[in-house]
Amino acid sequence: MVNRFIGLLLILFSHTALALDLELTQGINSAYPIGIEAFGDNEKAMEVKSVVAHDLAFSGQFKLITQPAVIGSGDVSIEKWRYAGADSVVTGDVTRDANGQYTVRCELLNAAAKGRVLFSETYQVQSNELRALAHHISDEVYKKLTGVRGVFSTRIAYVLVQEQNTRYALEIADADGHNPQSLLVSSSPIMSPSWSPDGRQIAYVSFEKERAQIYTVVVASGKRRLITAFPGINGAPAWSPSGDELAVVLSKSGSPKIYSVSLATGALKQLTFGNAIDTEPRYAPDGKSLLFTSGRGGAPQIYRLGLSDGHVNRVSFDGNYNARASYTPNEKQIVLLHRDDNRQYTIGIQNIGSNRIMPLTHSTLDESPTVSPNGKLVLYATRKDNKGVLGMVSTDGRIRLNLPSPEGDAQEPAWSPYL
Amino acid sequence: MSFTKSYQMAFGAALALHALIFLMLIEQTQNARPVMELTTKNDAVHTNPARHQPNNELMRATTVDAKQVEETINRIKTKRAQKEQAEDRRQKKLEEQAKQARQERIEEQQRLKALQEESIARKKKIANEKRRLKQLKEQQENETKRLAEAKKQQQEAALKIAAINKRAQEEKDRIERVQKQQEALEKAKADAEKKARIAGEVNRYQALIVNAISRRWILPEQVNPNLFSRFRIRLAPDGSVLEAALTRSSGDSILDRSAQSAIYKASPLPVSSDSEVFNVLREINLTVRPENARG
Repeated sequence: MVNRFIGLLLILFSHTALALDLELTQGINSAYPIGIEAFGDNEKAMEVKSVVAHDLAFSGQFKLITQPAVIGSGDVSIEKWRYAGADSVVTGDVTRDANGQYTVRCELLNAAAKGRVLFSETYQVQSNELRALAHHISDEVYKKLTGVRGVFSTRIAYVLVQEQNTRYALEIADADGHNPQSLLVSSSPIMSPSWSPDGRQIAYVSFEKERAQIYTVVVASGKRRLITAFPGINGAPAWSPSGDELAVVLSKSGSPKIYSVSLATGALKQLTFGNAIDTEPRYAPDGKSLLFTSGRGGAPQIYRLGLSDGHVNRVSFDGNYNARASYTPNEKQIVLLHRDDNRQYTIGIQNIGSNRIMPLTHSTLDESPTVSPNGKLVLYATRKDNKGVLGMVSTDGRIRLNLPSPEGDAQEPAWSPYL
Repeated sequence: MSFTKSYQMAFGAALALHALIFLMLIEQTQNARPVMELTTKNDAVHTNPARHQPNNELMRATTVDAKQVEETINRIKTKRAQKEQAEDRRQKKLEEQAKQARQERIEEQQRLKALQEESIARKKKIANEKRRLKQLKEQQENETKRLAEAKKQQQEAALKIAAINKRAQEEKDRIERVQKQQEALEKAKADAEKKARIAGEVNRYQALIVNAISRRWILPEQVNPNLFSRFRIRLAPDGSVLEAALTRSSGDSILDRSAQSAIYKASPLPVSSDSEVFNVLREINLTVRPENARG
């Protein structure tokens, strides 16, 4: 009996042992292959599809698979996508009802795992909301497949200079550059827009009074508020993560220095000292420190200021020109403007704990990098065809593209937080 | 043995016969005595009470007439004469009888003597017979003894043979055992060789399978390398992935799905056409650990 029992145990063990144990530790770094199936034949369906496709394409995480020649329906279609190499497929349709409302149905199917539904949703929107909905769908797909929140519904602000430097506009556009709207228009220069943490306001520098002043403007209403108007430089405003104060650069007492201004009381506090130029402050996401550019070492380099102890330490060492640094949201990397050995200005990224700066771009006059709220993309200003345009690069350097730009020079982009 | 028994029976019968004869002889010698006693008995007849009756008749006769008496006397005389004659005759007869008895006794004695002689002879014969029987018995005993000895020898021989047989059987068993051991060893060797061959093939296909999945596994960005998930993969004989079931989630659904997709995308996986090798590959427990990216 006991022997039989032992025998049974052995059989059980050997049965579990029958399954071969293997270990997989290596994968590939590659964009996720995804297929976007047509949402329908009508114009709006095609627009939704193209917005989603474009979003996913520029996100840097996805590789769009060309739609296989003949698409049937159901599983057959999924199989074709699978053979075409897509791991997942976005599918759906757009229909217009009698009231002019649109019903958009969207599904995300796992093509690799036999068409399992990963996401399915139906929306009802007005005609003018279709584009925003398409970005929302992109966000959902992105989140589902990468686990990271998408930034397709966020917005960007940038300065548009037109008509031979006689028209300056603070532009707000979708993250893909589409749908730009002028928030402010001025005949004097507008500089350094910066989003408040809640995405409702933008701080910027205006020269409308023939000298630099720092304003905030409410995005929804255009209502402005003057923050600083000291003699000399009033520049490079940056919101603290709490939204209570702005870090600004003032030269009221000599060299440009970094101060903080309480938005509630207007109280001013000097944060950096000395004769060197300190500029371009950016708070760390945790609000405990800020990065800034300083010439105190002879050449512009990035420094870190601890806000609790006032301690300053140098952060960048690679090359003799580094500026305009900001943390990625996870505070593991710093994105900055880097002049490389060929004296080319590029966008670089440096891991915390490392002194090495990896270039993300390779053009000659890139500037003003701003990191997307999910830390996956960097928006920056560059020049193309002797014209200022906005470029976008993924933080892994894999995807790089220019945003569609209107007439004029697009400068100093700023990526909004999640809205 | 039966022979001796029948012989004994015959001998017994003879002995019994002799005994019977002997007894009869003794009976006859006893009978001789009453013959001689008979004479004394005859004497006693005179005093026999039976003789009183005629005396009583005589007394009554005296009372009758003379004639009758004469006649009676005559008759008595006659009767007496007759009686005397009869007595004489009886005497004579008795004498003859005695004579005859003597004669017979002599004859009897002679006969007895002869019988005695014969008895002696017989006894002698019996003794001889007994001796012979004894001899025979001794012979028989000797024979029995000899037989017993022979038997014993035979038994000993049988034991010896049995011992030899046993040794032979043992030897046979030993040879068989050795042969079996040899066979078992050879079988074990063949099994081990087969196992080694299968294990080698399995190893080769393991590497091929892991490589096939690895080449299709798109690592999620910024995945935590300390996470791991586990899948139970079931394969069809052509290597098609029938099932890639998540048996242990890493907690990161993106990581889990990326690996699952890789497994399905790698289908059909490289498998051996050798069914014994395939049987090992049929079910796979795949542990997925995002340690690094290839090249």
